[in-house]
Amino acid sequence: MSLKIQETFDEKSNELILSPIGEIDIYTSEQFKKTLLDNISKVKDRIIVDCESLEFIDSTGLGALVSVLKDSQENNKEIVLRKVKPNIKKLLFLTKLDEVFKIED
Amino acid sequence: MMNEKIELIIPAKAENISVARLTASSIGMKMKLSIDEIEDIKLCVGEACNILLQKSNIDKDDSIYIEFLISEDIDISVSTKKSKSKKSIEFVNDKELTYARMILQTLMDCVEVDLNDDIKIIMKKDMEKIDE
Repeated sequence: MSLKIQETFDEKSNELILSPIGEIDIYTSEQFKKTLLDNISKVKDRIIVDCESLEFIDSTGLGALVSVLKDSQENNKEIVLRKVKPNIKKLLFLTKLDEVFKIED
Repeated sequence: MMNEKIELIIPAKAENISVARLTASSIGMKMKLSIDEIEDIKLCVGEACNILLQKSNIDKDDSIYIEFLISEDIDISVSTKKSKSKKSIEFVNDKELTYARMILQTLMDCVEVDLNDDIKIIMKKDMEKIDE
């Protein structure tokens, strides 16, 4: 499965929103990580990952998220996961990453 | 349900792991599993393939062999046909495998890594089927 990533800037909330569409797995996780890293440097405070169209993520995708999170925290920036589907919430819970990432509805 | 064996052989490339996941999903639907259980085996098959791609000495010209043994429960093995001469999977101690290991050990009822002639990850899940 492929991965598309939409980038939008919400002027009202002054937030950059990345919307992955499809699956983040061993084939697409590097693409996702690169997009996150490219954009985290452009934002002042935080980046939103809108997961409404994210159908699947595996350990490589989680690793990409964690890797970028570490970089962002060193620069006092935040990564927020929004509209996470139940199957992915379950994965975040069992890997205890629900305690690491900020998750919004 | 009668015992059945379904085998899948895919080239050992990252872009093909989605094929393994789709096959696992299809088998789960055939077994009339719950949506949660289908998602679990789909994820675990993908994770086992990921482990082989990342940690064995398999390369893109090799194949990954996936075998589903279906009865009242499901046994899944994911393997290479390469020897462990160059690399071996330190499943328990490898920090990079932390999330994959957590996923497999939480979602499957039994996980074994066999490092004998080839590298094989064997998983078993006891099923509660939805009513027909």
